Amino acid sequence: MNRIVISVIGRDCPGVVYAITSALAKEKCNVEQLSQTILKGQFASIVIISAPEGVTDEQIQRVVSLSLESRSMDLTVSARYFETATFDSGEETEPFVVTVNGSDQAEIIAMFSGIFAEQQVNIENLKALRSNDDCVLVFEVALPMSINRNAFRQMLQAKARNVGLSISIQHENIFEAIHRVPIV
Amino acid sequence: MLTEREVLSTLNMLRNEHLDVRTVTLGISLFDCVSHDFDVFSYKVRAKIAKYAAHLVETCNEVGARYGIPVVNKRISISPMAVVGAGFNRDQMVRACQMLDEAAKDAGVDFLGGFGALVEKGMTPGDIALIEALPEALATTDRICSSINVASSKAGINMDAVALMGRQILKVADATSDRDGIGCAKLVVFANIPQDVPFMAGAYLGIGEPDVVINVGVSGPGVVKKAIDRAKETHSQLTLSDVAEVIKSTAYKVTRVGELIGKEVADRMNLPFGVADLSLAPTPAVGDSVGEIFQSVGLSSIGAPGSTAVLAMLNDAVKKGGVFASSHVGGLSGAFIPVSEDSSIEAAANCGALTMEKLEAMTSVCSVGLDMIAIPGDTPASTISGLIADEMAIGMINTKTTAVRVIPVPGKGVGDTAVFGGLLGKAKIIPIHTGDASAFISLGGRIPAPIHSLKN
Repeated sequence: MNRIVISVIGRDCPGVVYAITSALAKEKCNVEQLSQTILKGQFASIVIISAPEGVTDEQIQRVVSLSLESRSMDLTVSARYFETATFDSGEETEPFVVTVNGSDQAEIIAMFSGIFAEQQVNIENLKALRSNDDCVLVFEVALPMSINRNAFRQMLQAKARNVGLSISIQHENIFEAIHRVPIV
Repeated sequence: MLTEREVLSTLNMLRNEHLDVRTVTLGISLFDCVSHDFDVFSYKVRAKIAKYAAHLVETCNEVGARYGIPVVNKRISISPMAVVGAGFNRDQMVRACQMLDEAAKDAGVDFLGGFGALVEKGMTPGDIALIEALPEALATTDRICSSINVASSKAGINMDAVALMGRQILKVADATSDRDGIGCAKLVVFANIPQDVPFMAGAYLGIGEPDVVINVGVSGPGVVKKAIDRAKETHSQLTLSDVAEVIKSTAYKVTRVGELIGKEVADRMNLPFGVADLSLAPTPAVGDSVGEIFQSVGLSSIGAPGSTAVLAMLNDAVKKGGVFASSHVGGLSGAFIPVSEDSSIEAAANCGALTMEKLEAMTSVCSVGLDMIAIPGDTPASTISGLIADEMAIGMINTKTTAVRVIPVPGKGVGDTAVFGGLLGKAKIIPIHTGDASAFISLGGRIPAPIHSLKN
């Protein structure tokens, strides 16, 4: 059994998921995990499948592309073998949410993601929202236990202050506590 | 994965609506410090407070920073001093109060509560010594709060204590006459005082409480007011059912914040978590006022007809939301209406829209009572005792907590302003009824417990 990861990106319309998954079903592939999102009418999906022996990543890319094209759907497909070795520093982390907001400016995401990269803080989810000239960035990050919280907070605050932005750095639990009924 | 609404609404509550944890209060039992020798007692108390409170402020700040939610006040409550120091005389009680003030300053807390007595059925020599010590004790200390429980639904009202407290309140005001009688801002007379209040000036650690415990007071009224305002913008036909629902949901959120932070502080200090007190406690800051909530639901100001109904709904909805959010709710858990500490209530009292009589009516449905009200300095002791007796009767009959914290401002009369500063705020002196209660108060004795105290 092969595991293959497929990404599909392009203009959204009804039937996209059917076009992808029906092509996979014909090849006797099983969807193990799937995530999709839509941003301003653009569809993006990442699918991890298990495929029968002998089925190649190129073959999967071809059949899914053909399935979309036959329905006149304008999306790009790419597939590659799934690599089991994923990023794992081996260090224990805590989930923190870093929110940056203020007037929009170029390189704002690069500025903060640069600090995260330097500190070996992995971004696990990122949303960037813009309304008029204002922007809000919500980084959900895994903060290694070895990083000094106060120093990290001060570094980010200093950076935000220098470019006239507001920033907050909070443990994720506070959002769960406020907005969600606890799962028991 | 969080939704953007969850993140943005939390940030909004934090940055624009005063979302915080109003107080983390470390309760410390002093029963194991008792000694007939004042110096031994004093040494043990200082050592115990220092041991447990040494990291309180630092831990609260660390946990607050972790969640991005400030813990505004860090406080200590202790066992009632009149009980643990039952053998001390008046002068020793004054020294005990000064010793506690030093301990509070060393710990870096803003207030320490529990320099009090429980006298609803009668007074011991220790109780009398403490009450007699109040004027000097409160005048020579900065951070000590005192509460005297003079009534309960089980025991009735101790009218001898009520008469005594009327006189003592005037003496405390006189002893702090250079600061507009500020000593009285740190002295409350209670009916049915809860054993686990984290809020001042009523905080103390009751007899049935753990040795050391963390209690928490949740965020203030600003968050509730803004939530109602937002609901008004988004609903075309907002009814009071909707308003009650908004208050309830908001109370849930602020209580969850309080509980999360309180429990983490308790865990880090290796102490048990006691209760979350759901009370909405205002500060003089604009946007952090219980009074503004009345305006948000359509009254010209607090004090207008309808105010008691609004307060009843507010108090009830806060409890309903908070109870689901916390595993242990306690303390006062309602809405406070302290006049000088709330800019909108103070403004209403200032212009005559809110009178003493309306305040008294509202205390039948709120969580405390006549709170932080500046009254003329020449008010007779019997009039103050009469006010206390009325308020205690409301508490006793309705099986709820009520309290009186009035400040007779020395040398000042109706229309003058008393300034207490900081969280205690300022207030214009309001008129009180001039009818004479002296003969009634001088009768003394006890008002018997009500029939519904017999529940067994």
